[in-house]
Amino acid sequence: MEPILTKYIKDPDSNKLEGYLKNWGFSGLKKAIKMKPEDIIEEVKASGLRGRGGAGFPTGLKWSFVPKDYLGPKYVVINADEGEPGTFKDKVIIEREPFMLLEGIAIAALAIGAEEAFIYIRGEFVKGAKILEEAIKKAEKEGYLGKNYLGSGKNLFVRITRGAGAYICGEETGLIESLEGKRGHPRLRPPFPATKGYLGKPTVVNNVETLSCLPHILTNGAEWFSRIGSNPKNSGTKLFPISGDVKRPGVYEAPLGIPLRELIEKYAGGFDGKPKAIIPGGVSAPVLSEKEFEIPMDFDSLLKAKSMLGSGAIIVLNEKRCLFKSALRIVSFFAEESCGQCSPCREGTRWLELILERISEGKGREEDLDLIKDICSGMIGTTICVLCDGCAMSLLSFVEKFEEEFLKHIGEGKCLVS
Amino acid sequence: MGRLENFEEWNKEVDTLIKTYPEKKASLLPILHLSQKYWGYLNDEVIKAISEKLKLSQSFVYGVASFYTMYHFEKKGEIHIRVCTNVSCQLKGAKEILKKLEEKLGIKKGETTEDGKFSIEKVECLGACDKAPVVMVNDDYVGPVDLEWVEKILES
Amino acid sequence: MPRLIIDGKELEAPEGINLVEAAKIVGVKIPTFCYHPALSIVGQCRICLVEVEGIPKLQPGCATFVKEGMVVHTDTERVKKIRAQVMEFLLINHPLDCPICDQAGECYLQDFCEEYSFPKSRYLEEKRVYKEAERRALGPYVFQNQNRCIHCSRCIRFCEEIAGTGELTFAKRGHKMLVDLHPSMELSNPLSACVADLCPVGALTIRDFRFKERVWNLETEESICPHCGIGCNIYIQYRSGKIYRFLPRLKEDINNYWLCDKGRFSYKWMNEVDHFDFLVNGEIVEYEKAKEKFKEIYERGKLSVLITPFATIEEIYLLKERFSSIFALKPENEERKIKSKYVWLKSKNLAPNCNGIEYFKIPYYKGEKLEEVFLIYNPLIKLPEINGKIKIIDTRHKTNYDSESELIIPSSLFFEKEGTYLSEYNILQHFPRVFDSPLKLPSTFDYLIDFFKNINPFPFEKIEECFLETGISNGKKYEKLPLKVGSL
Repeated sequence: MEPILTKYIKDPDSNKLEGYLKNWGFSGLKKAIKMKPEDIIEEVKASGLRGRGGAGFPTGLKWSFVPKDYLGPKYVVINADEGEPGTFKDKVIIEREPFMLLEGIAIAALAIGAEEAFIYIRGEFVKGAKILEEAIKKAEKEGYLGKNYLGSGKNLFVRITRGAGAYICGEETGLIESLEGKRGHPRLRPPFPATKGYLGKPTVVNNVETLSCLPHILTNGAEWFSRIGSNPKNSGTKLFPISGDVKRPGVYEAPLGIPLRELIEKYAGGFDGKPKAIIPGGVSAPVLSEKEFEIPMDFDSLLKAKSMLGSGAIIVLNEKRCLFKSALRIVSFFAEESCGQCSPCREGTRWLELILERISEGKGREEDLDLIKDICSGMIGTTICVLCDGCAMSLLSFVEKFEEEFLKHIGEGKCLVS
Repeated sequence: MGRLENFEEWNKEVDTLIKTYPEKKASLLPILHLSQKYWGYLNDEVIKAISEKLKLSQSFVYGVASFYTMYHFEKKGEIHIRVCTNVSCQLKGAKEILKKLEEKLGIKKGETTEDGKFSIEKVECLGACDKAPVVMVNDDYVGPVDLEWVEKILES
Repeated sequence: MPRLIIDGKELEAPEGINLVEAAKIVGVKIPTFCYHPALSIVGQCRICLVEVEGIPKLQPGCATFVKEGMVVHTDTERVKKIRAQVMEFLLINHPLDCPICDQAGECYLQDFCEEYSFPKSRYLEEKRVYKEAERRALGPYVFQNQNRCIHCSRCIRFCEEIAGTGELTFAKRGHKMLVDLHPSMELSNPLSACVADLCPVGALTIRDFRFKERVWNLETEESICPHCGIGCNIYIQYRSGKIYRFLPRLKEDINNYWLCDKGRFSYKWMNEVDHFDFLVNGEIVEYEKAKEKFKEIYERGKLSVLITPFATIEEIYLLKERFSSIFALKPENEERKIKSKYVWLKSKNLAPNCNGIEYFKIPYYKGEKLEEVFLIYNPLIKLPEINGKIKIIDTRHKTNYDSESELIIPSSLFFEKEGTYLSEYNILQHFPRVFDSPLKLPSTFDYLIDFFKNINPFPFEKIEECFLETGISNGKKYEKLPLKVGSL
């Protein structure tokens, strides 16, 4: 099918206002301006749109938790802190379709009654931040944002804050803390951001891709959107950043529910070498083994398979890859990125890393796999956020599905593959 | 204060930044970025200047800054190379790139050459896995890179 | 009030309290490290995870609040397993150097280890070492050994939320995260040593107390800090007649859980004394001789009394009843403050009973000409030029007037006697005798009662009778103390 979000990304003018007006024309926002906030929320609920950042929470439902009668300021916060290893999809929108994102932000702001929005963009995206900044200036100047934009009688000011190198700030409450000028320690919930978010005010945090779906949902209707994808609960298209052992790494847009193998073969130029394992949703998502490669790439199918769609980031590992080493690299990542506040995460991620490092040095012991499994059991569901769960579940999936590779390292100190 | 070069200019820019946020403290990350742009790294004087500006304790400012890997407390090289080593880049030989850089420059990751020209940093996923193995040279993404690229960048 | 069930025990709990506090009501203990009732809730140590029916994930008892109909389990296998695992996570990098750790004996980690831990360590890797913060002073009173830290953040929250000074912070992140301060700061807020009280392990200890004594050798008695007019409630810990430390004792409307550094560390004068004997004209004498000498001097009828605001309500009362000329010496003026549960309390006087002095309308001494003087001395009050001959000194510490005085009475010290102070906020507080004077020296109250027996006896002997006689408490007895005395 025809891509939606990425339809015009090859158009050299797609990131200029003129190009955007020609291609899209802010038609979604214009429609939203005429609607009541609750109708916008209903429309988005009906579309079945779920968060594209990782958790897959229904967007309309999230908005509906914002108290309507709240008198003070409310905020829209845009999560552009794309950091889940394997993920590089939001960057495409930021750099190629910044006005689509801004239009989406404006629609979200109308829905919850916000006049200020903050884009939290990862620190390394210097170029993206510049493009966005210019887009905001241009949009304000031309009356698509700012005071009484599009004659709506409403205001919307969008600002950009750059992150500074912390994966955990992609977690929505860690992000809010960071945006408030603090260390990015995720918050205890309740209260949820919808009631007490940025600076204690009602806030929705939405991912770049999620927001970029909104102009299209408003323009073409919820009904249209909900019919794309596997089913109304897994609707729309998804940007799949694909990397690793494929012929053409890149970002590809496909309907939710597309079988994994088909996605790689049709879009990413096919596998490079015989695939052995695929990470289907960023490194937090448990790895899939060959018999699972036909899985429909949507939220619920992956959950059923005890993995997750996450950010949709796909990393393919072929038969020549040592999965023990990949698992170690993933665990090291979590150990490096743990914020440190919860004991199981701060200590557990590092402990696992040290055990795996010891094994990689040829000093593994028979009991190590059981120990790893037991440590992981103490890390799942026991912390404030799910970074720790991500680490444990990912590692467990490697251990369970590719045990022989671990045993080879433990027993003989070498890779099964070399 | 006052020992910081271009302090007045910085002060003005900070005032503008502060005004763009509903609360003073919320401007801390942008101010840290700005200060690093001014002075290259966050030495004690800089931390003090920021804390005075935002009425936060120096420890608070330091605690926040040290949480994030992009803020530095030591001078980095004129050319700061960040090498992504996460899974996708690992598959495509990031380790070799890093090793080669270390060998060629005679420094380890996290260090700066004596002449202050180069520094290398091993980083987590840079979010450009289609360009694996990817590196950042100062603010620019480069990838996929290979060992030849390493030779070239060091000559430049 | 919501009704709920914790481990099968039904209870009604006050609105808004958390499960840790609710569990206490029915005698169920939920272990905690990071939770502290006077600090914000962060829920990060995870030792307090419990099962709440209807919620699949375990919930932190500190951050889960009572709700009507809640059914909570703290003793299931699942809860026990996760407690053991959290303990394990906290212990793998803990140095287990209890034999040389000052916290041993009052360490949460030690205590919970016995109750909740796996019996054996499964950790084979190297323990984490924080080279930069392994052994260092954070400020004048607090010493850090970061290797022992369990990252509960109580100390950081204290500096931020109570002291309001923010010296401490977490720096770095993940397993490298440490409690740190910026090199331009030191931990020197007026309540800084409280962070060591709060530290559940031996990561922050008190420099003054380091390696001095094992805590299990110490005995503890309740008292009042006498070093300013606020009257913070404390525990005095001692061994073999020597005071080792003051610790804050919970009193919400005065010092809450806190104690100021100045007050806490001013105790040393109590351990350093010079006089042990009754002296008459410089000669050591028996008690009876001293008593005779007192009568002789008193009956000359020229004695004025100089007291300090360290004198108790009861002492002042006795003296006032028997002496018509009585003055008080002014204490030094320096601000001390403490944060009660509600507000900062302040005192400008470095003595505990200025309001007692005022209550009895004793004038401060301003150089009036006195004939003969009976000085009741305290080394913390600077002696002014005294316009008169000092004949009797009640003191344990040397003074410049020792040689000229005819009688020196080595009365028992603050902690060896009991009495009552009226704080600057007009709160009457009784303090008990911490321990008996090893030399059986009489307190000022005791000898005054006795000395006057053959001069002009008092109609009572006991201190509590005297207290009631003063009328200051409107008939309220010691057991009812502390009590607020109406505006004076």
